[in-house]
Amino acid sequence: MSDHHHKETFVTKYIFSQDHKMISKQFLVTGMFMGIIAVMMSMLFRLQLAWPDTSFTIVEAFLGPHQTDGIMNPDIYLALVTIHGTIMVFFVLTAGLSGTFSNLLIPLQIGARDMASGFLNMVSYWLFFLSSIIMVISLFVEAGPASAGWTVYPPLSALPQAIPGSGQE
Amino acid sequence: MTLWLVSMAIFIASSLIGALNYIVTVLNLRTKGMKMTRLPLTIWAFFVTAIIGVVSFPVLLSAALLLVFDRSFGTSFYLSDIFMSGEVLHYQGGSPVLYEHLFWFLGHPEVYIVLLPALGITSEIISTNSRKPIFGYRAMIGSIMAIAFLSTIVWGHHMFVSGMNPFLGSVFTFTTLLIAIPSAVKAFNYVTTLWKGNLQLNPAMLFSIGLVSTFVTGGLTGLVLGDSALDINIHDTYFVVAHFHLVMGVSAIFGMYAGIYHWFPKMYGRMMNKTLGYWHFWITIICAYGVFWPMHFIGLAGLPRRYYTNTNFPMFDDLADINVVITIFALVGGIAQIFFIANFFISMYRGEKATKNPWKSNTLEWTTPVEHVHGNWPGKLPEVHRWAYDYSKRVDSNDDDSDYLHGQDFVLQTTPLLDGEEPS
Repeated sequence: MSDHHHKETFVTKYIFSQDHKMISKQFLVTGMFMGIIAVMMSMLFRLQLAWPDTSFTIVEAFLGPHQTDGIMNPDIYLALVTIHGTIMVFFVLTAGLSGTFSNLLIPLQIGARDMASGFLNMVSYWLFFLSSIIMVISLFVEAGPASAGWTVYPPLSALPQAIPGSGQE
Repeated sequence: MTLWLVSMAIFIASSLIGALNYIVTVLNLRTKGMKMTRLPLTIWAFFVTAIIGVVSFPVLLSAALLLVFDRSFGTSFYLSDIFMSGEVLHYQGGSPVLYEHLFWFLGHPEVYIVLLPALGITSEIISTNSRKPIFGYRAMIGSIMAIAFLSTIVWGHHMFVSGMNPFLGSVFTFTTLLIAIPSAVKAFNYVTTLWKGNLQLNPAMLFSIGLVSTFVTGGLTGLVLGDSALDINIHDTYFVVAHFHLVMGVSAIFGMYAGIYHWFPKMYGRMMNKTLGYWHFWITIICAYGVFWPMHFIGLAGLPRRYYTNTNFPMFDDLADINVVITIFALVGGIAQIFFIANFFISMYRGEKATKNPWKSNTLEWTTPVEHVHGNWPGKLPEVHRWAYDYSKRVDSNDDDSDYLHGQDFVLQTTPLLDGEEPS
């Protein structure tokens, strides 16, 4: 809001920035990164649907413990579909789209110096970043990622023993 | 799974904080002369999106928290009478349908949280690149608000086969089909804006037109799925997958791409490469239809979604070849996104330097300097005198051969009205 220029360090300018233009870029790049993960997942499970009995080196490379001889296990197929849906709907098309363009355009198109609260705007991005990291980590836990579909209907999702992806982690 | 729930809970907190910020900013920080009825449609879309988010996301948070309780602390909100591996579990009295209600009370508005910003971006880009005012500005605002309201009372159409009262199903069918009205208003307004426009077919415009196309294609199958009687046949088949991918997936992604191509000069001060943009657009739209068009038919043939393999069902053997075709389109389409990624990152550093207003647009963001400054405008904030869509305005509005007002086919919002000019 103010006209006085305080000195900006690398950290306040590019990382913990409160400027809406920088935050919108952060949302965009994080959203694109999550998008790449989700699109690659969809390509993996499309491979499975087209050639269910064929062995692929790429499946072996990406799915590690969740494949046998280059053919993905049924559980990981469900997990891929689940996480693809979750990431695309929430992380790319909600946060990536609204986060980028609401942040960029609201102040610029209504003629404001910045968002009403630059600080909360920064908090919003970093919570999004944290949730993205947790979602990515969940791909690597031993029990496997969530696999009850992106809608996570109970009882499948509510009972840890119901399906492997619903396990202890 | 617990990590999924934790991640989503944090995500919801993030989007609530963001949404409240957007609402407050739009209501309170508009510059002098920027009445609500002079806002660009992008802002209207973001504003209403934020409101739907605030209304519906907390419900998902509560649904997720109750699910955490059921998973980890032995409560029975969603569970009852469960037998597993010969064992009777202790859960009593809960209902999984409760979760479905809570989830879809967010889940359906979420579709519009995804779609409305894309539609807002499209409104702005189509108007700018048709060099014409958007057709039916007030009708657009009205339909954004109608969609937002209706989106909160249609969640039951995801649950026609959940065992809920069939009478309730017909109520949800009615409210669902009502959404077709404001959606059609928007689709027709886009087409009418394009009609006889002076089209500038740059990548952003192509993606916007692509959005209108997929929005209509996907919307039409929504009429089938929204009907509680017809839905039973195709519930949980690839028909559903095709429908929602086209209407919200591909449409929203196209809106996002359109926005990136259009506002990249504002974000990074450089232009994106047009040729790569054209390649990206044409491969993407052909592959998008190549993937989802055949899915309608395998869905009608009964192929269920979320199956790992269909080789155990001889009745689906005929569909195996179509699945191969879909996969080939999916792989090509997925790999073609490299055009975009490469274009994005290379243009960020090597792109042609952008001018202040590369698309000859009316809105305020194009009056800011190319190099970002803290506070957006050096010196005073701009003052607004007109709406955002004075494109190709003539001196004599009844005579298409008269000169352009101000000698150019666009008039910035900051330009004061001339004597005798009718305010818009």
